Amino acid sequence: MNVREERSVATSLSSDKNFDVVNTSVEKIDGYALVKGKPVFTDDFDVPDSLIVKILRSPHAHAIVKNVDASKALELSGVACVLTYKDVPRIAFTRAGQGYPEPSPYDTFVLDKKVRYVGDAVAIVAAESEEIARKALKLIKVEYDVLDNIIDYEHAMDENAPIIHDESEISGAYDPKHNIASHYEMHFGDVDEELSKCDVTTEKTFYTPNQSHAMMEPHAAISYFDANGRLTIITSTQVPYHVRRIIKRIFGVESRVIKPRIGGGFGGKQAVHVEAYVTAVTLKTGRPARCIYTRKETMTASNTRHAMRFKIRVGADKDANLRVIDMQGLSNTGAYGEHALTTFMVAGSKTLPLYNKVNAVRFMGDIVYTNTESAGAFRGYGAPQGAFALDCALDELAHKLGMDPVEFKLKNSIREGETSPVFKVMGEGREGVEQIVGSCKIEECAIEGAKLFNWHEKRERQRIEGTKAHGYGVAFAMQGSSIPAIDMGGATIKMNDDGTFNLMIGATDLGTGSDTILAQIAAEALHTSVGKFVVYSSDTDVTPFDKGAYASSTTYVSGNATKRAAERMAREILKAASEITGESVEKLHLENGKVISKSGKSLTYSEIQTQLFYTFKQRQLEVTESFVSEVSPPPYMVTFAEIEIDLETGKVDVMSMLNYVDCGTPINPLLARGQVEGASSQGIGMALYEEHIFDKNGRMVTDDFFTYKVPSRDDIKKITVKFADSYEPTGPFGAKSVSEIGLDTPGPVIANAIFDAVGIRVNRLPIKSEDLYFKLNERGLTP
Amino acid sequence: MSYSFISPRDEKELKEEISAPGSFTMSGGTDLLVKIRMGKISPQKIVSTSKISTLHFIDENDDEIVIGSTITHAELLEYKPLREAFPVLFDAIYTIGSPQIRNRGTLVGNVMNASPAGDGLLALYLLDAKIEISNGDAVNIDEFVVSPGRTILPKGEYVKSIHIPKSKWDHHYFEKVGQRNSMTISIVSIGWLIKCGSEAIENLRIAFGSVAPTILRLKDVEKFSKGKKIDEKFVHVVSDMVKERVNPIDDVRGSAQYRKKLCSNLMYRMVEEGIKC
Ligand SMILES: Cc1cc2nc3c(=O)[nH]c(=O)nc-3n(C[C@H](O)[C@H](O)[C@H](O)COP(=O)(O)OP(=O)(O)OC[C@H]3O[C@@H](n4cnc5c(N)ncnc54)[C@H](O)[C@@H]3O)c2cc1C
Repeated sequence: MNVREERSVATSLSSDKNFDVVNTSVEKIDGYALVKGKPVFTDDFDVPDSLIVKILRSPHAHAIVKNVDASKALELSGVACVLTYKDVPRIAFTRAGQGYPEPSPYDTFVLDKKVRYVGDAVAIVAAESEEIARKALKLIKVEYDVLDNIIDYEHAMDENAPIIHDESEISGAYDPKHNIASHYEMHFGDVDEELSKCDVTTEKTFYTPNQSHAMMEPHAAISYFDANGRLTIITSTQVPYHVRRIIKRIFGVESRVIKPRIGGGFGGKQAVHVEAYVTAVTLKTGRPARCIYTRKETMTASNTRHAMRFKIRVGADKDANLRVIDMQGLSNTGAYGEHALTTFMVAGSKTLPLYNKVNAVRFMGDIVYTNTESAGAFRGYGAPQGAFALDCALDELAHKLGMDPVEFKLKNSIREGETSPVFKVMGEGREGVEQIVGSCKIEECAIEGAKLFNWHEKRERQRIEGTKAHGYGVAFAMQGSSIPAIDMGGATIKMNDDGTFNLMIGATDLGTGSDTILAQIAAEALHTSVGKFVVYSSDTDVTPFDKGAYASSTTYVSGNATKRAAERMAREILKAASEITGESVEKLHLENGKVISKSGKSLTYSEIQTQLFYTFKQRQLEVTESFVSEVSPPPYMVTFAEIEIDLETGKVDVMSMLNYVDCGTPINPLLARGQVEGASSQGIGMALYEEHIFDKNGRMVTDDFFTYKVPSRDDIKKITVKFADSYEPTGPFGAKSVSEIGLDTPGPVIANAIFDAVGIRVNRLPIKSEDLYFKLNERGLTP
Repeated sequence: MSYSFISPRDEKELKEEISAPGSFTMSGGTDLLVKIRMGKISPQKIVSTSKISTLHFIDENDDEIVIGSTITHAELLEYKPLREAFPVLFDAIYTIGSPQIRNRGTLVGNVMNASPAGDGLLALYLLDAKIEISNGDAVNIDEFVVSPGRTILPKGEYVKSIHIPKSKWDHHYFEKVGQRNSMTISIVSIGWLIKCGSEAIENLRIAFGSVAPTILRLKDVEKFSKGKKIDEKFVHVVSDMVKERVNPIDDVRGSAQYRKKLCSNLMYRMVEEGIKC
C-alpha cells in the first residue's frame, strides 16, 4: 500500500450522527464568569475566622529530623499551633488519587521524622495571619541528621546507594531496600529470537524529563467544621471522592469535600496535597484552616512528570513489516511512589497496541525512588514518555528501510475491527481487558493529514539553505478513554417546574469544559438546549460518585453516565406525559423541550413538572445513573510538523504543526480543539523548553516562571487541528477521549523533524539549543 | 517583610524621601518588586516616582531626544519619532518581557537595574546615551554603569532622564538568543549600528549583552572596521576578534563556550542580512 497514490479515505456519516446540540461549539457555560473574574476558585471562598496554614519545608534532600523546637514560634502572638510528625497520625498512605485499592505503594505520612527531598514537609504552622505564619516558620529550629542522597535516578540502584524508604510501615512497594518502588515486565513471543530474524533493526536509548504542570491556580484547600460539626474541605482537586476516602484513612474522620472551579490541574491535582495539612489543623484547633500554596511550593513540593529512560529495540523484515518491539525502561518516581507503577505501564499500554502486527513484544523496567520531588500524574501519564522512544525508533527504522515514515508507521498500525494482545495483558497496575477496536481512523489521519500538510511536496524540498535548516516530521499516537472495569462515574438529573434540569455530577471540570460538554450530552438526549441545564460539580455530599478527572475518562465515562441518566429521564418524562394525557408512550416523542403527541397536542417540560409538583400524581422526577466501561477505546492521532533550525545558534522553532485526530465525535469541536492545542503546547514545552535544574544539594533552581520556561505564544506559532470523521460505538454519541493524546506527539515529531533536517537523532528532551549546536558543530553544519 | 510606600508629588519631596536610610526609588517596579520577593533587598520604604509630573515627558530637539524617568517602555514604543530616530532602541525595547511588563517597566529602571542582559541598556550603549542625575550631572552610560546591579548614582540622588544624541545610521540590528522566543532572559544579545561610506564602512558600533559583567561595546572592533568592506572575509576576521574579546561565564542558561560561539556566529548575520557596504 503506497500512501503516495492518489487516494482518499471514504468517509461515511453514521445515521446516529444527526445531532442538535452535540458536535456543536456551544459557549463554555462558565466562560463569562471566568473572564469577569467572578469568585469561583478555592482561594475566593471567604471562610470567616480562618487560620492561615504554612508548611515548613526541608532544605535537605535526605535527612533525619532529629529535633523540632517550636517553642519560639509558639510564643509568637497569633500562632495557633505548630504540628510535627509527633502530632499527626502515623498512617502510611499514598497521595495518589486513584481508585481503591490504589496500585501505588503506601509510603507517605502527613509528616515524617525523615525528609526525602528538598521541599518535603517538616512541620505545619497555623496562625492568625499570613505574616505571622511566615514569621513563625523562621522561628522554628530543626536539627537534621543529613544523609547521603540520590538526585540522579540512573544511580538509584547503585550498590551503595542510600535507602530512601526504610520505614517499617511501607507497603505495596516492590523492593524498597534497593529503592525500587515498582517493577513491571511483560512479554509475548521471543524478542531476541525475532530480532535475530529481522533484516533491519534499531537500538537506542531515549530520555524524557521531569515536567511541571504549571497550572495557573496553585494547590489550595480550606477546611472547617460546619454548624453540625461535619468536617468540610473545599479544595482545588481533580479527585474529590478519593480525597474524602484518603482523609478518612489518615485521620479516621468523615468529611464532605467540595470542589469549586479548578484553575487547571493537568494531573497535578490527581493527588492529596494540601487537604491533609488543613485537616490536621482544623482537627487540632477546631478552627477553619486555609492553605494556598505559593508558586514555589507548587513547583517544588507537589508533583512532576515521571522522568523516564527507555532502551528500545525494534526490528522489521525487508518488506517493512514491523516484527518486534522491546522496551526496557527506568522511571524516576522521586521521593514517593505516587502513580509509579501505573504511569510506567501506560508508557507501554498506550503505545504498543498501536503496532499490533508484531510477533514479539517485551516491556519491562523499574520505577525507582530518588531524593527529588515526587512524580505523579501528568497529562499523558507515561504515554508521552513511551511514545518518544517508540515513535523515534520507528522513524529511524523507516529511514533504514528507505521508506517514508508515514507509510511505514501506517502500514504497521492497528485498524478498526482488530485487536492487540497488549490490551489484555497490560492494564492499570494490573491485567487489562480484551477489546476489539470499534473505531480507528488512523488511515484518514495519516493520508488526509499528509495531503493537508503537503507532506510529500515538502519532503522534496532542500533541507539546508544558508544558515537555516528545515525538517519535516511525523509521529503517530494513541491513548485510551478511561480505565476500564475500574473507574466509575455517576450523574444525577433532576427536573424542575420551570423547565430546567439540575445536572449533578461528580466529574471535575478543571478547565477542560467538561461541565459544558456533559450538559450538551444531556441536552441532546433530552431534546432541549444547554441553557436549560444547571450544572453542579462536585460536592461529595450532593453529587453522585465519580472517580474524578483523569485517564482521559470524563467525556467517555461521565459522559456515558450522563447520557444514561438523561435517557432515563426522557423515559420518565414520557411516562408522566402519557399519564397526564392518557395517550400511550408510543404515540409521544420529545422535541425542543416539549412532549409532542401524534395527535398534535404538546406539553412543555415545565407544564409536566408543575403538574407533578402540585396537582397530578405528585412526585419529583429525578434519576441517577452510573457507568463503568468494559473497554477503553483509544483515540488516535497523527501529527505532522515543520521545524526550522538556526545553524548559527542551534535554536529550534516549530514553524507549523498539524494534528489530525480521531477522537470519535467531538462533543464540542471548539473545546476539543482547545484540548489538542493545549496539549501540543505542553508537549512543545516538554520537548524544547521546560527543564528542572537542580543545584548540588538537590534544590530545584528552576522553581518559578522566571527560570522555568513554559512555551510562550511566540513559541507555538501555528497549530492546526483536524478531526477525523469517526464514531465510537461505545461512546456517548460516538465520543472518545481527546484531552491527553495531544501531548504524545510533540516530542517525537520535533525530534524526527530535526533528524529529517540535519541527520542528527536527538534522544533526550528537552532539546536544548546549546546541545544541538555542538552536535551540529561536530558535523560541520555550523559556520 | 513590611515597608511603607510613598508617592511624592514633586521632585523636592522625592529627594527628601529617598535620602532616608532603607528607602528605594521605584519606577515601574518590575525589577524592584521581583528583588523584594526573592529576598534580595528588604526596603523600609518604597518611594514611587509615578506621580511626579516633571519626570513624565519626552522632549525632542535637533540634537537629541530626552526621555523622562517615568516614561514606560510601552509609551516609548508608541512615541512615533522613536522608531524613526532610534530603530535599534525600538527593536530592543520591543523584546522586553511582555506587554504587561512593558506597560509598567521604564528605560530608567532598565538602566538602574544594570543587568548584563539589559535589552534597553544595550541599545543605550550603542547610542552613546547620557544619564541625567538629579544633582545636575550628565554621565555617559558606559561610565554610569559599573557592574551587575551597580551604578555610580550617589546615594540620595535619582535619575531624572536619559539623553540620546541623534545620529544617522544606514543599518541597525538587534537580536537576543534565548531558548524560548519571548519573556526570556537572553543567553546572548547583540546589537550593531552601521553607517556606510561610498565603498566601505564609515562607522560601526557593536555591543553584546550577557557576555561580561556589563554590556560590552567592542571599541577596537569598531575602530578596525572603519574603511572595511562587509564581505565574508571581513566577517570572518571580526568574528574571530569578537570571540577573543567577549568574556562570558557558565550559568544555567548556557555555557561560556556556547556563548562565545554564539557571539562570533552572530557576526555572520551581517552578511545574511544582506548588508552591503
Ligand atoms: C517578567 C519579566 C520579564 C522581563 N523581561 C525583560 C527583558 O526581556 N529584557 C530586559 O532588559 N529586562 C526585562 N525585565 C526587567 C525589567 O522589566 C526591566 O529592567 C525594566 O526596564 C525595569 O524598569 P522598572 O521601571 O520596572 O524598574 P524598577 O523595578 O522600578 O526599578 C529598577 C531599579 O531602578 C531603581 N530606580 C527606578 N527608578 C529610578 C530613578 N528614577 N532613579 C534612580 N533609581 C531608580 C530602583 O530602585 C531599582 O533598583 C523583565 C522583568 C520581568 C518581571
